[in-house]
This record gives sequence, C-alpha cells and structure tokens, in this order.
Amino acid sequence: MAQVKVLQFPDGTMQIFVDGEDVDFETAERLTTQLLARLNAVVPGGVKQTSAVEQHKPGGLRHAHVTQELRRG
Amino acid sequence: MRRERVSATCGTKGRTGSTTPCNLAVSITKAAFDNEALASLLDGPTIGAVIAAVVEDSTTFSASGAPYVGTTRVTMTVGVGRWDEYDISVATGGKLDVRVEGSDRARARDIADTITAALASVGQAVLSRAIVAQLEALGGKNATAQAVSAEDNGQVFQATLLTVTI
Repeated sequence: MAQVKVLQFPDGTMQIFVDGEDVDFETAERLTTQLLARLNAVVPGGVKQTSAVEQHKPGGLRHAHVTQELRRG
Repeated sequence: MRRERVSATCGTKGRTGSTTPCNLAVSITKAAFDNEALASLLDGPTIGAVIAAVVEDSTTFSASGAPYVGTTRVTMTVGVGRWDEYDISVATGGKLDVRVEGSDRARARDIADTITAALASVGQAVLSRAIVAQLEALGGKNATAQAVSAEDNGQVFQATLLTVTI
C-alpha cells in the first residue's frame, strides 16, 4: 500500500510525497506522474512540475534535507 | 478541517504528536499551480457566492441585491451609507480580475483586495477537492485533509496536507 501526501501551499505550490515501506520508486514515480497528468486534464496546462521525481529510501531522509524540502516554491 | 503543526524533523513526533509528511517518503516532487489556473476552477455562481459573503461580512458595505452572474463577469452593486454606491465586477473564466468602482478609491481597493484574497482561499479549497478526486480516481481511499503549519528554520508556512492510501 502506498500513501500519497500532497502538501499544498497557499501560493499555489505543492509538494507530492509517496510513502510506504513496500513501495518501490517506479510505483511512486508512476503515481506522481499520473496525478500530475490528471490535474493537467482538469485544468489544461495549469500544473507545472517544478522538480523531478526525487528518489529516497524509506525512512532515510535526514533532517537538513527535509527542512529544505519543506520550503515553498 | 483540523489544524496542526507539522514538524520539519523527519520521522520524529512534533509537539502536537504529528509526524512530518515525508518521514517514509519514497519520492518527493514539487509542482505549482499558476494563479489563472486556480481562478479557472471557480465558476460564476461560486464567484458570486464569494462576493456576497465578503459583502455580508463587511461592516462598511451593504448589499442592495444579489450578485448577477453574466457570461464573462460577475457583478454586484453595493451601498455605503444611504447614497454612496460601489460597483463590484469580477471576471470569470480563469482571469484574476477584480474591479471595484466608487467614490472612495481606498475603500474600493480595500474591498477589492478582500474579494481577491477570499477568491484565492476558495480556489485553494476547490483545488484540494480536485486533487483528492484525482487521487481517488487512481484508486486512492481514506482521503483526509488537514490544515497544517510546515516549519522551516523557525519560519512557519500554512499549508493543507492531503493524504490518501492507494
């Protein structure tokens, strides 16, 4: 089971996280790509992906990295 | 919607007992919706309801009728005191264009800014629902939405955290 989390900021930016100890990166990448494609179908051209789908090991993120990830934009 | 603070420390509990949303992240991606895309999520009747709500909350302006939803703009005439009238006009169809005309420019600008902020807030809520709907179309279940504060180097950003299980 994957858990998809979208952190949506008031300025229109968002961060999409895919979690799950038994979820591989390919699945996470596919889910992210599908979500963005679907949102672009709702509002054509409205969503811009501003970073590549970055791979992380489950539970392997360090504090400093996450602090940076939680920045807006 | 519940509001809680999300600690930026990965994998640890925050003061309110919540964990940061990326503590088990397999992937992280950033994306952005532009303002016009957000505006396009708001239809005429929704814009009319937002204008009416702002006027109702105002201690300065009073409604003299319901908003008129036209094909390209939503309009409403509001009063100040007995004689002064202001014309509010908001574009539909994805244009972020709020105009207010009246005798006092500062007063007009003030309510225009309030309407713009309210439309942005409602746009974010509509976007949240659209995101959840698309996640559910992908097989997502148990959707939740929480108002959270994301903390970064002592700076706090308000955000909405949407979660589904797929």
